[in-house]
Amino acid sequence: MNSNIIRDAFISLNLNVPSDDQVCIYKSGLIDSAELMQLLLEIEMESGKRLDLAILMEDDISLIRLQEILDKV
Amino acid sequence: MTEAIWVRFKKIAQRNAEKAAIIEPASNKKLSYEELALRAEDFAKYLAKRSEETLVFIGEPDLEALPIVMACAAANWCFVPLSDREPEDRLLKAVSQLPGPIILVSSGGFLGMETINLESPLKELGLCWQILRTQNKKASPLPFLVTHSSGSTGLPKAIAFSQETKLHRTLQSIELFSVTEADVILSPTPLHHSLGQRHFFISIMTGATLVKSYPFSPATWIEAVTKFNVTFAIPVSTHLKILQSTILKNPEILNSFRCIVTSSAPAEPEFKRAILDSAEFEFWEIYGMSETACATSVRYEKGHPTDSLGLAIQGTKIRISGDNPDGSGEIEVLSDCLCDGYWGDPERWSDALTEDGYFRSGDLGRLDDKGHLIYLGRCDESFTSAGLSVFPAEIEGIIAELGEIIDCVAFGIPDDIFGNLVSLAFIPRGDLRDQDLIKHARTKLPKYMWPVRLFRCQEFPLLPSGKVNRKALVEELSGKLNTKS
Repeated sequence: MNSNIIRDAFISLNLNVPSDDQVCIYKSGLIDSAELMQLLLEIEMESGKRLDLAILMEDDISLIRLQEILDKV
Repeated sequence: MTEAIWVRFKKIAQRNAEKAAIIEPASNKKLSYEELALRAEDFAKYLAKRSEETLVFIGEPDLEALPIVMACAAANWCFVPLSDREPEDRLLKAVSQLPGPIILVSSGGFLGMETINLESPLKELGLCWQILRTQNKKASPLPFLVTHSSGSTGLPKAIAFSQETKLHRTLQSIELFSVTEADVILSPTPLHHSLGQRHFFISIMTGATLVKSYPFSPATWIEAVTKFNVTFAIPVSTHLKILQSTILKNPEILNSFRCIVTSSAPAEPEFKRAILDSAEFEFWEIYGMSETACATSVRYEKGHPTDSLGLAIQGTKIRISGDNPDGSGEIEVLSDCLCDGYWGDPERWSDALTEDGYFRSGDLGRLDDKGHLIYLGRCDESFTSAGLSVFPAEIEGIIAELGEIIDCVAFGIPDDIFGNLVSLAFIPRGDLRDQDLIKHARTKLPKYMWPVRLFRCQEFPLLPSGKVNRKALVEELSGKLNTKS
């Protein structure tokens, strides 16, 4: 379910969903900081959960990690 | 001190003796020009017998007490109106910084202060008259009027005006908006606010009728407009926003108006377009502050852009400080209507001016290629996010384009990584979804201004002036965010 929310967030922002779910979407240059923030906002609006930005930025932001964090909230 | 205000008022009162000078809808009473002049002269006789020369009035004077303002003009006293909505400690701190001794007039009095028994007719006003002996020496020259800034941007400042200066500023507004004896002017703003004073003096310095309907409520505002056929008003934009939905549904409410001027905090272009389309009257916006009077003005026309605050008015120059590549910077104003400084605080006044006499507004703006002023918010409201400057007013203007937005405030929430997170508090009308709001923002704003934190609100805290209390709102919402995370 959460993986769908994440993928839908990319689509809402007209961004390509990364084919590699382990690559850091920010460091790889796939999205910039403004788009990252909007991606998180989209996920928050759809899931009704609040993501902790500080924790998220401690490590690579891959699809897998995003999903893990979202599952824990 | 000259008697500029008093001398002009006497001539106008003689010419309009029988006419209503002030109407108070709440009490259903009115005061003619003759009555206002006679009572002011009567009060002035008693003031002249005393040595204090400064009268601080705490709270809103009712119709019976309003002649005190003109009595101070007649007796060459200084009148200092203050809000009674301030905490007592803060009030007394502001008063104790004024040059003294002072007569303090309030409805209930203050503990531990010497009370004086005045003779009639002042006694009949039912107010408490006390003496405050401050440590500060009398300042020279004695101003006629001292207005305290709202305090929303720091410590309140005691802005001083001689009668001559006050009259000059009043005539500036009268000429700009072609106010005449035929006008009926509505004031829902308290007298301690510079806008309340502007309504008062514009009215009695022309021989017009002032409808004093304070405190503001949409119902009393509309009732006063229709009952007294109001022709002129300078409402703060917050009041107009509160009235907007009713006005748009029933534009005939505004049929009696000849001219409406929005002031105090620049309004969003979309909101101005909606008001402009709703009725036939002159619709102006002015930019200025208590220290400078009007600095720029613009009369909006249907179908024309409403995003600028116009050009500098006669007697005024504006410029933008700094050398930002985007042309933005602090708005500085050179005006022949400048106030007479901060009373008892020449150092602070000197700091407020540039070396060549321009007043530092504390507002951010830029000039377009034709010299029109574009307002970008308060200097201390702008913030950086991911290293880029964000101007809240720009975000608010775009978000307000959505018809489902009643009001909105953009601000930064401090963040270790990005410096600030762009945040938006908004009051929605109807079923506006967060997703639709953010989609609009993404379409219209540069990406570094896209809000990342949204706060849906029922209402915003307001200052006594009617402006949004941004500081209180941001503190409240930042606190909520910290609690959640």
